[in-house]
Amino acid sequence: MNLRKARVAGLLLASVGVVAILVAHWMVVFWVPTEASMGVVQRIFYIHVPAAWTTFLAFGLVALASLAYLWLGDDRADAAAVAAAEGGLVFGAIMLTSGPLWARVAWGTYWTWEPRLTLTLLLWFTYLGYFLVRGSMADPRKGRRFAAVVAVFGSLNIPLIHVSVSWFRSLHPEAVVIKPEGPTLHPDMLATLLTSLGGFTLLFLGLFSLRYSVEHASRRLQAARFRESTGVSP
Amino acid sequence: MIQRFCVLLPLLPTDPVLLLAQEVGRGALRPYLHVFAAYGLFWVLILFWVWRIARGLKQLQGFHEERHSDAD
Repeated sequence: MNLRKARVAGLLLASVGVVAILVAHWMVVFWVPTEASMGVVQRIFYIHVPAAWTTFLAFGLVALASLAYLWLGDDRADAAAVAAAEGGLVFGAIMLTSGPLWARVAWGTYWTWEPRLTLTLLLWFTYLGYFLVRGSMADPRKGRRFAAVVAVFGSLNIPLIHVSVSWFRSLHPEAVVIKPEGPTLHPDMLATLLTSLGGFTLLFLGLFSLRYSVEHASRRLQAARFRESTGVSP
Repeated sequence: MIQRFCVLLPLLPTDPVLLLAQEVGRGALRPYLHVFAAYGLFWVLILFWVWRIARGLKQLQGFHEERHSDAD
């Protein structure tokens, strides 16, 4: 796909995503019923869960693109990994700030070192480390390769986070949507959650496409400038 | 003065500002504040990423214009 198309597709996806998120916000304020035991604060659920899903999608993409980079050595795969990692950090920050705000009212504390929270924080810091490793090497190619390895190993944490609530004793509630017997959520709550989930996914994919096009174009430009000044390809 | 206050006393609970103050005192507005903060932070972080991408695009445009002016 050429970069102009990626940019147009990105803008389109992000715009549809924003509209879906605004519709979900309207549903959260005016339509969805208030949860009986937690009350109003449970409405954070409609951004916390989609943010978590988008974070895992983004970091999963980083791992796939990094695997492709390690295998094929294609610079486009590395650019895609960087774009997805940036998105993962942003959506991860949303998840890690909305969760404590919910927990303070529901559990009486902002943070507790229970398995899911600890593993999720570890995942976020792993991908922060991904950027630090990239920048810490004198040879940029070496830095990219090491960072790709970090991304691949870091992604092994994602399935562990998903099963942590059933494997370990945890304050975190069990899954209410992805269950063998089907979702156990009130239909209106499920509709609101799915609208928000769709909006978050489209917004992420849109901004990811835009970020990828910028990253790829700037690398091409840098390579062209290097060729012009030295006469050899980087 | 006291007599006037006693006359006004039954009207006090209907004053929305006083009712709000009572709610704040009881901490009943805390869940609303947390929901508002969570949704606000969401938009701040998204706009931060959009700003970073827009800045990258602007820099690219700058480089392109610079190269074109050099070529001319």
